[in-house]
Amino acid sequence: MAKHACVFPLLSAWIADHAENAALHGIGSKSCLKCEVSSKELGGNPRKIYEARDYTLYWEKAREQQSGEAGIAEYFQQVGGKIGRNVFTELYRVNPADLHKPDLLHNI
Amino acid sequence: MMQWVEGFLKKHKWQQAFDDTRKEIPPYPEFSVPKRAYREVTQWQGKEMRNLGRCISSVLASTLRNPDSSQHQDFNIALKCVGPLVDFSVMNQYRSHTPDTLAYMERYMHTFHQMKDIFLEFRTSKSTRVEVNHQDRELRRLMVNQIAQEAHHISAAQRRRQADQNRLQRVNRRADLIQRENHLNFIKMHYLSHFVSHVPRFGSILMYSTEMGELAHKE
Repeated sequence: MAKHACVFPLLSAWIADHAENAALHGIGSKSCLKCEVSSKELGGNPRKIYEARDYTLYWEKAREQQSGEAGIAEYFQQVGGKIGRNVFTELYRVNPADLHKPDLLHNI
Repeated sequence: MMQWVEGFLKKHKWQQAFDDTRKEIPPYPEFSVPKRAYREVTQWQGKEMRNLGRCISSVLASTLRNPDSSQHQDFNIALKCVGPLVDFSVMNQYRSHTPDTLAYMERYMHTFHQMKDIFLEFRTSKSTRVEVNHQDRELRRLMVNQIAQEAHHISAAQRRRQADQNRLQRVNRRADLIQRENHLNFIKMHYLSHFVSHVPRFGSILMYSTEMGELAHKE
């Protein structure tokens, strides 16, 4: 009897430069893809911990806006995001904030 | 970082000394001796950058070894800033890490952030430069008018003294404006703070470099 291997690929990294990743994540170019640091603190204390980005919440907020909820645009402006679904949201077992990886070539 | 170092060397007129020192580096296994002066290279490739990263600390330390009394403090801070960043960058290329190497990386990053303001003046954006030039022109116009009004009441020596004072005032004001407007709040600077926390979760940083993808663009 033939054996079948079930393979479930999981997207674990999206290796691209910041501009490409920001477009795919639906995030402004001066915002971090991993955390909600403000653009005025990008060069600040490296030991300071900022709130991690929750792309599922962003997606829910975008849906709320479609249903007429007020104040969503301000929320996105505050967190440096753009209204609209992140292309990686809803992928099975994928946290979009973890897809971005350090880039030695472009970063240092 | 190299743009800052270049600006720093240019300000202190040590660019030629830097190029001369860099050319003196002898060959070493896995290190290619640079064939061109730093200022002649227009497009840097990954390999060239890595080579530069391996020698920049020592080349810079050697270049800045004989400062005069006014340069001494600046040179010292610049070296204390560049050294940890280079060490951080070299450690990022390790294929495996221990808690000790991660602690080193974090310490290097912290030291670099403490010292980085020495290069702040070399981070002037185009819009800041336009604004500063505009304000400088305005101030100059005001000063010229003022001197023209007072020209009949003061002697030539007083006029010269006044012109010198005005020039100094303009230089200081220009430096103040640049210092106030410049910042190091850019995304690449922030991403460095995520490097250390990335390693325990996902492994060596070297694995994720975009360099492999960029090779496809190479002819």
